[in-house]
Amino acid sequence: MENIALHMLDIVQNSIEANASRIYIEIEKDTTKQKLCITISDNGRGMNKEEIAKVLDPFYTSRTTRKVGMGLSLLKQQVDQTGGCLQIISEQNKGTSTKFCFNLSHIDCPPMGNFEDSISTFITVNPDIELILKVSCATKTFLFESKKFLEIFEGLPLTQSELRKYLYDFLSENMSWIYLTECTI
Amino acid sequence: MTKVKTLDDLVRLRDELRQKLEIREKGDRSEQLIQVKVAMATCGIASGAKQVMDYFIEELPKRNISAVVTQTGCMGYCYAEPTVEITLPGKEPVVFGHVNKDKADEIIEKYLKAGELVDGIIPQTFKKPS
Repeated sequence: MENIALHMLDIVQNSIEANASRIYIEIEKDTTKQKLCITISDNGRGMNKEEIAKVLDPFYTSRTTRKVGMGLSLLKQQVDQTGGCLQIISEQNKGTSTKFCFNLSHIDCPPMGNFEDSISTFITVNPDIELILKVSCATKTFLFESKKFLEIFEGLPLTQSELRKYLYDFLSENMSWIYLTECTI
Repeated sequence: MTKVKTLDDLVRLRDELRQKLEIREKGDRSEQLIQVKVAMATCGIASGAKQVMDYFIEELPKRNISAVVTQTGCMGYCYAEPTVEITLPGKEPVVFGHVNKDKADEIIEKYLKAGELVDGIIPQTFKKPS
């Protein structure tokens, strides 16, 4: 993956595959430790113990379309090479929570990418999935609920392009500090 | 452009838009819309599916094509990512492989506008029209 935001988008796809109707994304940046942690929790079908044990094996997948499952194993490799961590907690029929952390100051850390771009695209093409986003860094916190956003525009014949633009602008306006070293503007 | 930072700003923006958009046709016509599904599993995202999906989202309204863009998981054609499944109203879905912005442009101009098939169709998915 080119950047961390695309990894996030990839893990969110797992939640869609698990039939989640609600996804919670938390992006936390620790400026002192130069650490970025992302947690993605869903209310999808979850995994049993056997599935959890195999989930990081690239030759295991729950899909029937192919025999490899690279998403989590690639992510694990990337967080490991920065000295970061990956944690997966899952309960069958309840949901899954995946937390991964990157050491931003490590030379092998991929760029952060563009979170608001990935999230606005995701909401635009998956309006039926409720997404809750929390972004925090130092004293700043931004909380966003896709449901509230979409309710405001409900009934308006907006194109997907327009909706995506409004989403992107709104998110950028509120969370652009996450890219700054000290999160201060 | 005025900043849109709070939900109240969004409500104001919505009210402004409502006036501008009154002339647009409303209603659910999803069965008449072209369906564009972009495969967004690991293989797709790593190959540039996100950019392809954004391209379809941006370009289709510009070219006055009524379509809905959605994402899907891996269709099993990882070797040909990014892959895009397109369903024209009343027709069988067709999956195109190795789609970049140039190919997406060709698909829009030829397949979506004129129903003309273009190179890059994944053969296993293709059902000959009866």
